[in-house]
This record gives sequence, structure tokens and C-alpha cells, in this order.
Amino acid sequence: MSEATLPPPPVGFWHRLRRRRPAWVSLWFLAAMVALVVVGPWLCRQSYAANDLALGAVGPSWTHWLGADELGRDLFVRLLYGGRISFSVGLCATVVSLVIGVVYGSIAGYCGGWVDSFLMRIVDILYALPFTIFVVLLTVFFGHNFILLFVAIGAVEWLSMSRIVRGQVQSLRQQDFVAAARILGSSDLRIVFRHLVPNVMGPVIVYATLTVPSVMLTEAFLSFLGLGVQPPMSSWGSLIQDGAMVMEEFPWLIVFPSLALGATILALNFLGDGLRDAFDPKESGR
Amino acid sequence: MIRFIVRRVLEMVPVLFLIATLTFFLIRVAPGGPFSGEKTLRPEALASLERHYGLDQPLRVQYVRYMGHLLHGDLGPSFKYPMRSVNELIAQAFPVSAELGLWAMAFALMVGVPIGMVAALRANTLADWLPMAGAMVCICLPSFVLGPLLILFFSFTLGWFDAAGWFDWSHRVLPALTLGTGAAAYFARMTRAGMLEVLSQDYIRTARAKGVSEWAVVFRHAIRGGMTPILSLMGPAMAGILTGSFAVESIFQVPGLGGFFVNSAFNRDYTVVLGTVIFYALLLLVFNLIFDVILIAINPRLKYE
Repeated sequence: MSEATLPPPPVGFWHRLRRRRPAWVSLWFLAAMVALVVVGPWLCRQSYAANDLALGAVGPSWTHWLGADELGRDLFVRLLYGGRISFSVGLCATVVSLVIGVVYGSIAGYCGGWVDSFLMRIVDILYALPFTIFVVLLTVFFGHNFILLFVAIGAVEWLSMSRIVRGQVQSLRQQDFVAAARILGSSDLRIVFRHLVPNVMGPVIVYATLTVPSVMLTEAFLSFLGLGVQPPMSSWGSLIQDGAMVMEEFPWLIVFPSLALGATILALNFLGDGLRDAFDPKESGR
Repeated sequence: MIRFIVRRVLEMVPVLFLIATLTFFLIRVAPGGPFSGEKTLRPEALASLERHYGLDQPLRVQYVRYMGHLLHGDLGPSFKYPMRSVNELIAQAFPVSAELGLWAMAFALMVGVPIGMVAALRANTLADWLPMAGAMVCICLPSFVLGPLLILFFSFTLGWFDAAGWFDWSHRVLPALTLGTGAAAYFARMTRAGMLEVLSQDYIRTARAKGVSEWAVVFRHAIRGGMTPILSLMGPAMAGILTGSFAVESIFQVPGLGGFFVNSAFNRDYTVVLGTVIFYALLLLVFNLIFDVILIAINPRLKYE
């Protein structure tokens, strides 16, 4: 029980991860995707907003690899810029949820007693709330503020994280190294953030990997409803929405953004599963 | 059990109160108002409109008045649909959403659970990992991607079903499929995990040792324990179908509550937004309670936690 919560030695970890084919392939796929999205827009001479009305919507060709939309904007370039949005929302909101969840969960787990039951009861109640509704409301009423989007989505996703951290901290605080730290005169704050939190990082990283796709889906969902990024900027969600409007005539406009989003989410999920197995060898081999 | 239910119902009151308060002030501190879009409105007309709806009063007076009405179950008049009350609007739009949700849920259960069971019984064979890979793909396909793709294929290419509107069965198939696929995939994965767990228990081995047929082992002994993860997932699945309906109803132009809610938020129709949020919250809380009660009825051990 106690050993499973400690992160295994790093060498064994990478080795185990590499043996999970889907996760390993996903890792490389994601790395390539991130590199493309970060570097790609600099290499392209076209802008995401550059119109070419004379061109109109054309299918995939040599000059426009994935075709162009009705305004003659190159879909590949728009996908790259959209990918920037999707990935950065995914990362930032995950970091927000990670910080809130880890702090909240470790306080609940470390304090125990009535503090724990009070904090966790709040989480239980929040779980029951229709949070997506609040995210929709926030984005409608406070405009399409980017920072707000991160915070709003992050604030929704921290609940499961806090539960996981709490469970881990609860089992860790019984251990000798915590008692030793206390005897040496460490304050509670120091014990939690110097000794306990680093030890729960394994499960936290795994769960964070699984949070990223769900955040990206939320962003795409909001953009699809017209609440996320605003034109002429693109995100994968808004590209899918634009494509859905004209899919009868120009199906490539919906197929490629859907593929980009779907493949990324799939890869992130595979990677998360693989990381979980690699961090926790007991769970694997099922 | 009665005490449990009473306690949970009592707990709902402060939660609903909190949601109503939070939403009330959230939409009021936001810029813009229900009539700010209508530029042609003369100032006198605007003032008289605001007076009519009580919007000229201080915010706390409006709040107290709204809460008073809410206690009587009155969600107030709509600003954008003159002469209609929010209660009427919800009563008109919700049955459509409920029907759509019901079809989606039925589809999810009837497809997801059997697939998960077969996968568990044939664990680590092709019949296991092929459907499970499919489920993984379906989880990653959000409804707003799946919906248009289904329309493209079944409606435009094959011409089997209608893509927009809400008139006969032909309009029900694609939205329900879109809304239910994600839940079906989750159910399949959870059923598989639950069944695998149960099938390795001692009492299953005992049953097999007694010579109980495989059919009875699965459907009489294993299915009860194997279904608990599904039931505990029903609450979140309901929430997912509820919010999923925002996108699905707008894709398929279904005149339900989900699309209505999003439109009202855009139009700053305060009372409609507020009423819909409270209604959704109540719905979810009640559903969570129902599924918790069922869970305890099936697995009495949970009662002592």
C-alpha cells in the first residue's frame, strides 16, 4: 500500500512507459503536434486572417494542403493557430486546476478530522452542480476574455484532483518520514509542501494528463457555441463550428479540424493511461 | 433510509439557495442588459420598461423580491418573450429536451452495457480490445464533432434520416445517437471494469463450483455487483447529457431547453437564464439523490459509510 504511493525510480519508469506502445506513440505524436503548432505559424508566410476572396473555398491541393475556406483562408494555417489556442488553454487551465486541487486536497488530507470532512463535503456538493452552465454564463457575460476562460475551466476541473491528492496525503502522513520531519521541528506548512506534495506528484501528473483533454474539449465546446475565441482568430472548436455550417458543400472544412482535435484528445488519453500504468506497476498487466 | 433521504433533501435547500444567489449577482454585475441591444428604444420607453420589470429598483430590493417569488415556485416573467412567464417557457421547452435525453440514455444503456459485458467475459481477446478501442475513440469524439459527421453521412449521403427539426421519429434518431454515444462508451468501459472485478470474486467461484450454468453466473450472480459502477456513473452521465444537449440541440435545431438556455444567455434575458440554471440544478440534485438511493438499495454495505 505505502510503496505504491511513492514514485518509482526514473529509469524503470521510462522503460515501462516505452513498453506501452499506444502511450509511447502518443507521446511522440503529441510532441510533433506541439512542435508543429509552436513553430509552424512562424514558417508559414500566410496569416490566419489573410483573405483571398477570388480563391474561395477550394479542396486540398499543393498550394493549400488542407484546402481553404469560403473566404480563401488557408485551413492548414488556421489549424496551426487554432492548435496554439487549444494547447495553451489545455495547459494553463490544467495548471490552474492542479494548483487549486493540490493545495485544497493536501490541506484536507493533512488536517483530517472536521476540517477534512468539511472540505470534502464541499467538494461533494460542488460535484453535483452543473458547472458547464456556469462556464457558459461566465463567458457570455464577461466577454471573450482569454484569462477568464482559463480560470473558469480550471476552477471546474480541480474537484477530482483534490480528491486524489487528499487520498494520497492521508495515507502518506502516517509514515515515518513525516514523523521524522515533525521531530526535527518542521512546521505543518513545510511538511505539507516540502515533504508530502512532492510525493504525490506521480498520481497528480497522471491525472493532469487526463485533465488536459477534458479541458481542451471544454474550450472547443465553448468555441463551438460561439463563446470562445472570436473571429478572425481560430481555435479547433470554432473551426469545427465554421465547418459544420458548410459541410454539405465543403466537407474538408469539418473533417480536418475534427481529425486534429480527435487525434490529439485520443493521444492524450492513451498517454494518461500509459503514464498511470508506468507509475503504478501494480495496476498494470490487467 | 428515510432519514438519509430527508437529510439529503434538506441539504438541497442551501445548495439551491447558493446557486440562485450566485447566478443572480453573476448576471447582474456583467455589462449589458436585456434591453441594451435595442438601440431604437427611446429613453422614456426604456425607463418605463425597466420600471415595469422592477429593474429600476436597487439590486438588493430586486434580489429579495426575486427570492420571495422563487419560494413560491414563481420564476418571474421573461424579458424577451413578452407576456410569457419563465415557468411557461420551461414547461414548453423541457419536455423536448427530456425526450431527447431519454432516448440518448436508453441508447447508451442498451449499447454500452452489453458491449462492456461481452468485453469482460472475453477479456484480453479481440472481442475485448476492439470494442474498447472503439469506446476510447467515441469518448474522444465530442458531440459537436460527431453530430455534423453523422449528418454528413446518414442525412446528406445516405438520406436515411432528417437532420434538422423535431417532428417525427426520423428527427429523433441522429440527435439521440449523437448525445448518447459518449455515455455509451463510458458505460461500456465501466461495465467491463465492474464485471471483471466481480467475476474474480470468491462467490462467483463458489457458484461455478456448484455447477451453476455460465448464463446464471453472469445474469444472476455477477450482474448485480457489476452494475454498481454504472449506477454511480448515472448522475455524472445525466449531467453530461444535459450540458451536451446545448450543442446537440443547436446542431439539430431541436427546440429544447438547452439551445434555449444558450440563446437566453446571449440575449441577457436575466430571468430565463436564472430560472433555467435553478431548474437544471434542481434536476441534477434530484437525479443524484435517486441514483444514490438505488445504489444503497442494491448494495446495503454502503449504508454504513
